[in-house]
Amino acid sequence: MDKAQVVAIIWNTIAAFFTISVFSFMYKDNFMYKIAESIVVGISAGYFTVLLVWTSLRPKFWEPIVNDHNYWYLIPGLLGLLMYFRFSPTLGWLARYPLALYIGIGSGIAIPLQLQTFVLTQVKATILPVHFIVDNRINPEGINNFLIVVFVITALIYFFFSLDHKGIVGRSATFGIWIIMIGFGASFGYTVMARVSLLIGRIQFLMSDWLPIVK
Amino acid sequence: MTFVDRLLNVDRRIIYLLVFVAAVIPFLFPVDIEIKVTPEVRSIYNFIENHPEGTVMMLASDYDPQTQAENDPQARAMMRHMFRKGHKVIVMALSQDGAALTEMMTNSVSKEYGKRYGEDYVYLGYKPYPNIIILSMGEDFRLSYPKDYYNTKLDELPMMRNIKNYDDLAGVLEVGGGNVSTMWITSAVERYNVKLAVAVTAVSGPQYYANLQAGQLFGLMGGLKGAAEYEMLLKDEYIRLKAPLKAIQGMNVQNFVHVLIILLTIIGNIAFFYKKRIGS
Amino acid sequence: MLKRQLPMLIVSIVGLIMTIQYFIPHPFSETIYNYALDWLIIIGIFAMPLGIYSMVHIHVQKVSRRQAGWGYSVVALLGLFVMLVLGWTPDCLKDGTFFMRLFEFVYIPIQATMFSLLAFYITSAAYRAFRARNVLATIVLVSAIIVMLGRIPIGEAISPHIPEVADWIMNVPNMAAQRSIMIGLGLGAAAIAMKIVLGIERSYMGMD
Repeated sequence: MDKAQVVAIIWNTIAAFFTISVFSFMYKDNFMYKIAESIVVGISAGYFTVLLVWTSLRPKFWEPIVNDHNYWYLIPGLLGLLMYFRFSPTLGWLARYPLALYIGIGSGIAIPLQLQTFVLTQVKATILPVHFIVDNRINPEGINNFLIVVFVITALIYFFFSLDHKGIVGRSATFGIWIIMIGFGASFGYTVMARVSLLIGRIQFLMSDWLPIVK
Repeated sequence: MTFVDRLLNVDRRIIYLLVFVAAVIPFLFPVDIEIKVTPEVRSIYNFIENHPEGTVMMLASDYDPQTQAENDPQARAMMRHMFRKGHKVIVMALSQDGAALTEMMTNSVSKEYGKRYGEDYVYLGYKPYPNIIILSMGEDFRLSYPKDYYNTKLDELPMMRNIKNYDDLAGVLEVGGGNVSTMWITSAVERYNVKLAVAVTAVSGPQYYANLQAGQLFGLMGGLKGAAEYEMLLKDEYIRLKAPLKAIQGMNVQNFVHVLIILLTIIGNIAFFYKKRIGS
Repeated sequence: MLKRQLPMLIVSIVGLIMTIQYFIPHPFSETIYNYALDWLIIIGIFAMPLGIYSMVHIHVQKVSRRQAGWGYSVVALLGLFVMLVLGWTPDCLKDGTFFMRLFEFVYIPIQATMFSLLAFYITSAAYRAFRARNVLATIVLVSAIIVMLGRIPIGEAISPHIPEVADWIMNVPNMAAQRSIMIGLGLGAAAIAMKIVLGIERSYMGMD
């Protein structure tokens, strides 16, 4: 067995140890799980700080100022530092300035994009051809399109609370909530698949990556 | 306590044990399965397959350890396909914990194909605030990424010399947990008309059908099933590379666990209604 | 004035400029847009460590006051310290370094396993709480079962129609439901953004 294999066994065993420590929580909350939880908090914070410094702060702020003499960058740098005043009881209001810039730019950009992405494009995509019969044959696409139009409209009626949900509006809203419930059921089905996938990932590591190399 | 009461109040650890056993059995008794490929996944395959060799594409790898089990097989499958076709790949990460995962994945897959860094692929790394980064890349990659992950200026990388922004790419394939995927649609597709396909976790999958139907996405890969479908399409390639078919193997496990969950749900409902009936 | 009105004025002016900028393809408008994004990236880089500062503050306080579980706070701070020391040089981010091995073989397994526990919880929740108590719950249950079966190979083995029905559910009623939610959310998000720009929504300013 060479050095690389020994190193791989050691590191993978460490990973397996922590995996099993976290799984032990399924039986009962315990000391090993709590240690793993604390380690992850510390390592995450440390990793992120290091990543931010070397891959963001250095190339985007430090080097343009020091190497390229782009001193304009000192202004947003200073604004960024003002954010830390939020921890001061007396000067906390200074943090509002960079926040104002951030929220102002973000909101301004968001208005047209949100409307375009989630409203206009979606409404446009709901305007569909509903030909039930094409070439003397039933057209499934036309039927589906008709259903999509009806489902979207009734689901939107359900969310429209400015009108009393009575009579035709009430019946449409009821049908609309049924459609929404079908959507939620589909989402639940996919959520189950997602959660199980996460478990599969860990079992794959234990059964296919770790066990074969330690056997 | 009647049998029905015991059934309804079973210790949750027994349920956990059943799930664990159902998840382990397929590893001990693997079965060959066929996965049917859906049109939305095939669209992504066709997009990569039909572009000529040398096309520049972006793989936005925005996943992290929480979603690695689903997103990693998706990213690897698409990257293997892009390399097999001889495309050039710009890889980036908009998830802080995903930067390292993405680097590991990129290094591992590029080694399989003997690809050269800077000529066949580049890794831009991570920057915070995904929305701003996505918007800024629409103007110039150098605005948000003056240098790559290894601190090399983009202009010093042969592949990046003629690449300014999204207009110079055939498209973007995004792999993520869902939140950043929506930002890609809002900021890249709607603002810059980027051709975008997303590979998301199954939790987020259902919501993107609306974007797919609206033409905002040209393809959608949902969860481990989506990754398994792509692995089916590339099965020969995986066999050639002797790469594990992790997603297809995972679907084997999904079989068992899903059936267990459905059975438990039905049993739970039967017991509940039986108790309700005898109670009345 | 300096504490509230001026920041709100900045939000309004900048917000209006960025909204109008979207519709003006003139090079000057593009220049403003590029500068705005450029500055925002740098402000964001400086703002990100705020969370880390909070985390350190909480744990240091816990240790200094010997609150319950302070030992675990020591472990967290130790983890942070070790990573900062190992991350002293930019080469630490390369694959294969001790820094990256700690991330790959300690952080990733713990984080991934914590989320994998959800599989157990969702099974337990489905068994104990997922009841067809009324029409709506029954619709959710039936739809969920069809989609779950339709997305696994065994569903097709039972009947080839199950995956077809599951596909239809995803592409028609699910898509319609998601669209209606999306339209509502989009209108809501745009409305909130407008309220912020117009100075009606001020909760982001915090309290004086």
